[in-house]
Amino acid sequence: MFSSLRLSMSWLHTWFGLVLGFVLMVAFFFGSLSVFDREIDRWAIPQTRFAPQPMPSFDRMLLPILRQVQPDEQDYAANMPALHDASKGPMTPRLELPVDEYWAYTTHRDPVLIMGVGFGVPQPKDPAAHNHIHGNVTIDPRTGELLRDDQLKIGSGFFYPMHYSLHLKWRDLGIWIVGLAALTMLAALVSGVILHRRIWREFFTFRPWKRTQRSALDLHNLTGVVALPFHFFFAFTGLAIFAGHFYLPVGSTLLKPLHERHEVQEAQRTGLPHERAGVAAPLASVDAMVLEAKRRWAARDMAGQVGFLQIHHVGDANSFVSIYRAGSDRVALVGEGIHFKAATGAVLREDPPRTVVAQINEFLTGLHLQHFEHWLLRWLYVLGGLLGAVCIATGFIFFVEKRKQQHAAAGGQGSRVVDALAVTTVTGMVIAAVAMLVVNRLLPADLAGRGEWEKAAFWAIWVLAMIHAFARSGPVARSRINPAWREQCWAIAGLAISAVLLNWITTGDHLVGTVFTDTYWPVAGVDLSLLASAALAVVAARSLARRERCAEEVGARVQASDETDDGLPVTARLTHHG
Amino acid sequence: MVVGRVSAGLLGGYAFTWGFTALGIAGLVALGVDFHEAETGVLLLALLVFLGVFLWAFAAASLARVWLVLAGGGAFMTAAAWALQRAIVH
Amino acid sequence: MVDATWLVLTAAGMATVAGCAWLALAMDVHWQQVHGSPGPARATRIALRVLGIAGLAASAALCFMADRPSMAVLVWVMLLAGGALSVALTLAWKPEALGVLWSGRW
Repeated sequence: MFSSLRLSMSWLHTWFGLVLGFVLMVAFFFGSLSVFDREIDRWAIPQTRFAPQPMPSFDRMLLPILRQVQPDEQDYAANMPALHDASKGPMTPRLELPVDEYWAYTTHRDPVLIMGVGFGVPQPKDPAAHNHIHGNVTIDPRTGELLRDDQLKIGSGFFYPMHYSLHLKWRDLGIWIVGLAALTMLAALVSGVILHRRIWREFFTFRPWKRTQRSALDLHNLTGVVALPFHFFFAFTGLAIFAGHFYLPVGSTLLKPLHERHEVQEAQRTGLPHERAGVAAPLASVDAMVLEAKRRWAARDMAGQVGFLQIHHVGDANSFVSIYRAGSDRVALVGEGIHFKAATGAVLREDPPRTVVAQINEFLTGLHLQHFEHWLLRWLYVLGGLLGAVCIATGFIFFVEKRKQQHAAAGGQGSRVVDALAVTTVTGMVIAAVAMLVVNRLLPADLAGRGEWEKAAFWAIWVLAMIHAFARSGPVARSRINPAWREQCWAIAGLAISAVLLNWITTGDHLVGTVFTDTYWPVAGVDLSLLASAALAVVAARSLARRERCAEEVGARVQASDETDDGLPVTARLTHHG
Repeated sequence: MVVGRVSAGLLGGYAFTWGFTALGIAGLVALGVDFHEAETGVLLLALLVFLGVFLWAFAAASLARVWLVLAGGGAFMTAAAWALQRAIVH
Repeated sequence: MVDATWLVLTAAGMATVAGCAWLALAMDVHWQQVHGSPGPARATRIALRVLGIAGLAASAALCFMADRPSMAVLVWVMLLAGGALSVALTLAWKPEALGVLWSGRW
């Protein structure tokens, strides 16, 4: 089918890049926002704008709250029927589910603490799977006050899951689509390098003064090559993170017997019971266990805070408490776990240093999940993500520019459709994200189901942006620029500035305060980023206006010269201005 | 024909990768490697294998050969992994 | 309140930009953009390449001074991306600015 390697790679790069590019835009843009997802949460939920706290007393504050947590209604309704074995008896009512595990999680970036309970499923279809129905809460660790669960964490609860799942939960379809997009990204990077003949000579090449087709390709190559390690590793590690559970679940399907054999051996080796004993037992002081864990970490020259705490087989004689160190000073994830017998507080096991394979894996997944505390690296990650987004967007622009003249001459609508979809997933997506923040500030503070309204607004506004993009796309069929690009840039600028102003008006936190007098960088950072985006959008809008005027003038001159034929080919004129 | 290449790359590639993963893990476990170690390491390699065969599906001259190697190889490796597991667990 | 780590990382950033700029100047097309003359003399080209690599090496050393190795490697790779991007954008919009790093007469 393809007569040469170049042709096959060119086809692959173009068509897979185009189709999956729309998904990759979402992954890269919302991935960039996710670097500062918790800071965006602070902006969206003003009651949480205080400094990060270490994990508070488990015995005095967390345990009483955990004892009150109920199984989530939606989780129960969605999953209980699938997990329960109806032949063994009636389904246990939601409020009577037994408690099986507790967990609590903090990070150096989060003022609030997330905790949860895993409720067991009596009479399950698959006892070995240890399925749970979950109930999670978020609290203010200074007071133990619960955050209302209809307050949407726009950063960590919306933008972040968007980037790996598109919020398409049916049978994890979204995760699979993003996985396919990640594979496409890897393939596009390799095929791109094969196609790019002068990769070293053109390493620093960007010629914005040339026509759009050339300058778009320059920028596409530039943004793809300078951050190539970033793009490759993020796509690769994104796949690696979900490989075992979603993409290649060999261990829980074909090789399940081997896996089970290992679990049993592991339990015997580590002394951490895999199953309940069926005998009740009390819970000793977890705070004392935390103190012992910190002492042991310090003794191994890695003093630190608790990042994650988990209690298995709650209430049972086999119950054990696992305490993991927060990995904020390194790339590899939370580790160095210490496990205690829950009834007595005795140390059952200290996780040994990891093997080479485990270390490599922890490094790779850690560099993607970013639990570390390094502000420069985080901002450099945002840069990398935005470069990826620009790479894909310029790919769309190049695709359209290369074809729109032929399509215009032949009366085809292909370029027009692709261009409108590009507007939707570039400027349209940014509009939806910023508008969501604006809506967050406009809605009444105590509105019930506030989070649902914000999500609805996001999707509705994105659809509106798409309608606008298609409605205005006529000129592309005549080989011109779609004015929607410029108009949506202006919309982004307006919305971004409104968001900053509304933050000031509704919460009293303005930039002079959050930067200088009452410094609070999470909110200041979001406000400053919004302003920077507005400035960039204005520059882009004005540049687009100039190009559109240029194209109009050329068009007018061509029409005039058609009446006085001076022999110059029409195409030469049309391509002179970019 | 395009559909043929795309499905060979995606479906054939997936089948081959699945087989590679299964045989890789089972094989390493048979040699005494810890299951989770084997799973972790093989999965990382499997992603690169998928990328490689996916690109090959488009670059190769003969689509028939692509299907033979990817689907055939995948089926063979999966069967071998299953047989190896039976030998280990019994 | 200037933390030593921030100083070291800032220096690393500057070394990266300078290193990329020298490597760019070693290429005819970019030398022409910055200085107007057709290209650097052979000895100059070699000197620019050496300086460029030295700049990137210095940047790596500074990164490793600031953080533990696993983190430093990520910071350095990302600084390279940022540095190369800044040089490319400067060449596109204000190429004369890079003239400070190496005179057209050398």
